[in-house]
Amino acid sequence: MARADSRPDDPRDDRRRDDPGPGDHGPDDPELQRAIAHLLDADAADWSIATGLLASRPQQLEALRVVADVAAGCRRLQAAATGRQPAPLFRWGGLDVREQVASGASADVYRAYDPALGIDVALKLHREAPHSPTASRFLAEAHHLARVRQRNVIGVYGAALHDGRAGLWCEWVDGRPLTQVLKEQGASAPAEAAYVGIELCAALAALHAAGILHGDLKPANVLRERGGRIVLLDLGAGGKADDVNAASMDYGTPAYLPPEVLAGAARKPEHDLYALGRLIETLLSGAADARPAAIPPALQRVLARATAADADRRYARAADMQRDLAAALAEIHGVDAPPPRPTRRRWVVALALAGIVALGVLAVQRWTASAWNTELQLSRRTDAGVAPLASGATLAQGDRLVLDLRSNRPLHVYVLNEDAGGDLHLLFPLRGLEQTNPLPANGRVRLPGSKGGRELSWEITSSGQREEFLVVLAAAPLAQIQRLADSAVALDVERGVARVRVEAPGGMTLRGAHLNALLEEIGPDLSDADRARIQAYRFNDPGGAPR
Amino acid sequence: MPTLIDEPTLTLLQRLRAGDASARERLVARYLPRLTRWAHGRLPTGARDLSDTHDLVQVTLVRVLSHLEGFEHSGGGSLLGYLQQALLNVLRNEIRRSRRRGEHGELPEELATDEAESPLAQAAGRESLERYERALAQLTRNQQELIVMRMELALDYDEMAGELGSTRDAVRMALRRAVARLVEVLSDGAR
Repeated sequence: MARADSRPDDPRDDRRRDDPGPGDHGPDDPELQRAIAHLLDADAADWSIATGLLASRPQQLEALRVVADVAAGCRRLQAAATGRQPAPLFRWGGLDVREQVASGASADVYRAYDPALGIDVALKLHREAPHSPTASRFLAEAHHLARVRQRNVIGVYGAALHDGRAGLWCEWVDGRPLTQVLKEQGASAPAEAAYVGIELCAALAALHAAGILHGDLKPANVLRERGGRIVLLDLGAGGKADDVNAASMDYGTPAYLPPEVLAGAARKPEHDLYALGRLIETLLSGAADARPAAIPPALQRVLARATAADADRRYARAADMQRDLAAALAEIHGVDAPPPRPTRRRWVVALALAGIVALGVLAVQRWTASAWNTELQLSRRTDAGVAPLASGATLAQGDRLVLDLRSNRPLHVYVLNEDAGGDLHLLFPLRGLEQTNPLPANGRVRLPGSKGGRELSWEITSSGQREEFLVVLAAAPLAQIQRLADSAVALDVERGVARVRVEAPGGMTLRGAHLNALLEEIGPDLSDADRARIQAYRFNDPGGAPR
Repeated sequence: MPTLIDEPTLTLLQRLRAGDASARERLVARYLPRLTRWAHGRLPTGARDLSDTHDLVQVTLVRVLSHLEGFEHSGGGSLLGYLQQALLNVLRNEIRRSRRRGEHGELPEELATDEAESPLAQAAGRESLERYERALAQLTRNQQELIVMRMELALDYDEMAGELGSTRDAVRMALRRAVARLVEVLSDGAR
């Protein structure tokens, strides 16, 4: 905390005066600006986007990661301070145990509140006698994890014996295991799978540097935090390689073990990299035993090496595999080499280009045959007020959009968005918003709504190639979509869009695979206009992101 | 529309200068919850609990707002930034005073909760927080204020614009440049 020592420079001089050298990327670099905008403006910054944008610049990415860690830490403290807490089930040590979240072979996992830290923690309580061999192994897991401090490895806060039960408590991760992600979203896109691989390489590098092998790397032992951070957990099968082999621990999952281990060879840390190769394949195919669809060649090469039958051909170090995955990700994103150094002039031009994108035809669907009257209007919010978007209007970066809604009955509203990359986001309802379903009848409701007394908007932060928005109005909650709301696909209310065009009613065909799948699921509800109805918008930017 | 900033800070500040004690109460009420959460995140776990922290922050705010000459001579910046800086100095003293060990005697030291570590250091990671703070200290005062308001105090752009007497868009662009500069300092430090 040394910030008071800084020099009192001219506060208006925020820019770096010296010229960055060749191949360097200054603070006005558009890719960096986009990554920063995403980090600052999204409710939960999605790391896969920053990783994609800055794949070829590890130093900037690492620096941004430090900022993201602090931002996420601050958010976590704010959320814990403002959230409502249910009454504790029981107390263990100094922790208020709130709810059981999982139960394993020898331990139960709870969400608990640490009054001293003022945050939620995950508490893993061992069920057996405190001096049993499994309890010793349980405390050994805490030993191993406590030795590693890395953002992709679950952070352990402490371990102790209380009331005859051994327990370890660690950071509470608001997210889902990859098994659940696969179940709910199906196979991952190659960029997403490569991103997960890169993050897990960082986790494994930290473990291996501490002389620890994980021993059971598989989708069930990896969490995807809301916002995209990948977190490795459960070291119950791991430890120092010598200890693991001496204890002849038959842990591990056959599909993720290399052939020589299945044949009885001793375990080594690099076997985790074989398991990681298998895990990435599972993400790409959707299941451990399925065949993946087309894999980009660069990623295919990494996987072939990671899972080679011949152990000598495989990766020996996590850093090597991470480097190759980063190169594969850069290739998938079409940025194989660091681009030439951008100048401030180019950046100004980019903003000017984004400012002349035009708004296409806009139509509002009405359902006059039904006694249920609903009206929707997409509008732009400016400092002067809110203006409906009409045909021929122009949108620019920084524009803010709202959706006005009227209904003569209370209703449940869901707003979803899918981009050209197939990423699905739920834009409403969102946790933390004051507006929630059901929305009241008779009177205008403006979405996305407000938070902390402040009205929010969806903001155009950059231009995407294609964005589709689906608004679903329903008389009763739609379980199929509510499931998404509960699992919080993403709380990113600010997606990149450029040109808005709305298809004529009746002629609307959505292209997004996730949205189409969802429409199919709620098909029976949609067949009755008194139960549910939809309005879809497509935001097109045929030219792609202007630079 | 109910808003966080019901009366502009500048108006309250003028009323306070004119001797209106209720303006001071309004300002304390406005900043207290946010700065208490912020301070609690920064104090070592063993130092003070939340209600103690609340008292500490309240006393500090009342004291600083009763002696505004310091702010008048601080050479620009926002009132919130000035209060946060004053509080930071109080916290530093508090941390120095409270350096004491925890009570997890029966556990290996690496497993005991480190009571000398703040909740923020635990939530963000000590190494990341230290690198962030070192880099932040190299930025201009104005840049530091923007970053602290958005990231540490969780103000939205409209609230920041209100505190800084600026516009939402200007604040957003200035903040992006400040974070870009922070990233640059962090990248240079990694070399």
